[in-house]
Amino acid sequence: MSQESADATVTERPRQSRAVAGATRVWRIVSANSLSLVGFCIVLSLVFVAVFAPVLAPYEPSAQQLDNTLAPPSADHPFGTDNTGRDILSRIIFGTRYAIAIAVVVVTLETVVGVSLGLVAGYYRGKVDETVMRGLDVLVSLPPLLLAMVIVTTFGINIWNAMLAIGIVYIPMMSRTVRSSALSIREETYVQAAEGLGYDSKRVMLKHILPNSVPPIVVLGTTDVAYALIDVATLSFLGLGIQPPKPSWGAMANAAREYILVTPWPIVFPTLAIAIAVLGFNLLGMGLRETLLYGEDYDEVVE
Amino acid sequence: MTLLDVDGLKKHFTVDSGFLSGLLGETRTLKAVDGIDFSVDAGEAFTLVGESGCGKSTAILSALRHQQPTAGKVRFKGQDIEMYSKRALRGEAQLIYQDQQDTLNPKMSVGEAIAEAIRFHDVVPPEEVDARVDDLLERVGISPAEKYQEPSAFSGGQKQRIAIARALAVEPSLLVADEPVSGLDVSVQAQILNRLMDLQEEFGLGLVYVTHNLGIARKISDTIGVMYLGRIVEYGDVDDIFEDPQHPYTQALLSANPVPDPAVDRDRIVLEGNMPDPIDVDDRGCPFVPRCPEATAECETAEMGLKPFEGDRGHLVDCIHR
Repeated sequence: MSQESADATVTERPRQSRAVAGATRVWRIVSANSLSLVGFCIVLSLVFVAVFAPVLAPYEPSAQQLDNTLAPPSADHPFGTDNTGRDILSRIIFGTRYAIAIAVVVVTLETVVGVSLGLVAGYYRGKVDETVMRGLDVLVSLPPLLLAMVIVTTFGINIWNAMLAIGIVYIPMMSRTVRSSALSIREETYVQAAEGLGYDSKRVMLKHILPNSVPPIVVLGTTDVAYALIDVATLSFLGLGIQPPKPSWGAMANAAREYILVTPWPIVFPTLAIAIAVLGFNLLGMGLRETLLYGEDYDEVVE
Repeated sequence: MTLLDVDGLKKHFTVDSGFLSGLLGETRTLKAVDGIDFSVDAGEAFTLVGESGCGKSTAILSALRHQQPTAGKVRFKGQDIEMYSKRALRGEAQLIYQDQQDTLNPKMSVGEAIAEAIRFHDVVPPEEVDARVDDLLERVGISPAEKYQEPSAFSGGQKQRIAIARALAVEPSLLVADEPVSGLDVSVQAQILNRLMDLQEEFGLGLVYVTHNLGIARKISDTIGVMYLGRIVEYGDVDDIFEDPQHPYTQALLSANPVPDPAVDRDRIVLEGNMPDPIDVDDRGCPFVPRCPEATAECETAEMGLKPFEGDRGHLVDCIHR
């Protein structure tokens, strides 16, 4: 619809200053709380590592040195080498790419589907709400990891199915969150006023209800990135996620499991990497929750 | 030209009286609006006055299909209101809400809120929208430079003026204001009311104003309908009603209105009791009987309805003693 695209341009300020204003706003929200500030720094470093992996990694992630396997940390290999003599540091650095990309895809899937279902359920209420939410309840009643494993083994073991599986598992939580805020926001006078102006339901949902339910979505989405990281690592550890020789943290830990009595390093460093990444997103999520949902001075921070 | 013509409008709510009565099939009905008639011409200001809970808001909301009425015929510009699409009807009749703090989307700049309304109803070509927004904001006394601000940057009175600008943006022929200034400072109230009256005159709008404030009703209206328990008990020209109120309820209501002069000796008519619960109202007779100083045995069974008072065409009273 041309009407929608016109909306953004006519009465808004020029695009560039909006981008700057947006970045300033994000920074102000993130830095309002020390938890989210620390989390944000960790996340930012992870993104940096992922983007500049080829520059940062000292070796090719799959280059083998068969005469130097299971070596302990040394000057040449700061994190040691694995059972085929691959440099663990380099593999962890490249593994960041997969970890971040997958977590982001999973959360995007969760958000797009979960938010749509939640909005529709909360806006229309009644039968639509019942149908959508009871359907999601069925999903919730199954153990999440088991469901993900079933999906992956049924549709084939590859990374896309792993992402799809984890994304599906996360949808109900997002839908419930959005539904509950849509239910309360639709009673606000400004939504009544939007209806009173004759606006169609799509416009009311997307331009009047959704923008006002963003904070809980952001908080849940951020925390879910952390969970997705764990779940992807778990699936990879079980051999259902990213397939070797691609460097994935979970698969690295799995491969190193056999040699844990010989040397602990190949399992310690990938696990640490997972822990740090999860910690980063969790801290960010916790800090945002404080600021966006429970902060007394939320308005001061945001406006 | 008659804009809005309401005939026999009723809005009843079924009251859920608990699980057991539900099982037994007992339902109780709340008659929020119980058969009212009124009409509003272009350029006319009509006010519904009455105590809180008398059904005045429900009456206007169901007349304009913000709620589905139980019964009654409503014609808009001579055409059955059912024939209008939601978009067409909202483009003709706009509502200004009581809750001025919350009437604008907090995540949308006020300029964008007005522009959205203009675009949605295709009021002007896209390239003129921006100028139109500026013009509307100026008319309600907001500087166009402030249009990028979100609503939180404005005071309650300013928000209400922006809401008026947004309502006018769709170029309606009828404006409905449901207690738009209650909860605002008195000086701000006056400011907004004056603005509203100027704009009404300028655009030749029909105005339906809903209030419990008699001072405001007198200031802005041409005609008045006094509501009691879901019915209009007296209807007529503003001066007729204020100078020569006929219905005992209107008389009591007017006598309770403060006069800003301590020297004036007032005969205050004090009504006994409260307005009864609209659920318990008997269909027969006059609903005002329990509180009426003039009630007689006849009143309890009489056939009620608005009747012209002393042959005066415009002044209607629903009381058998007149």
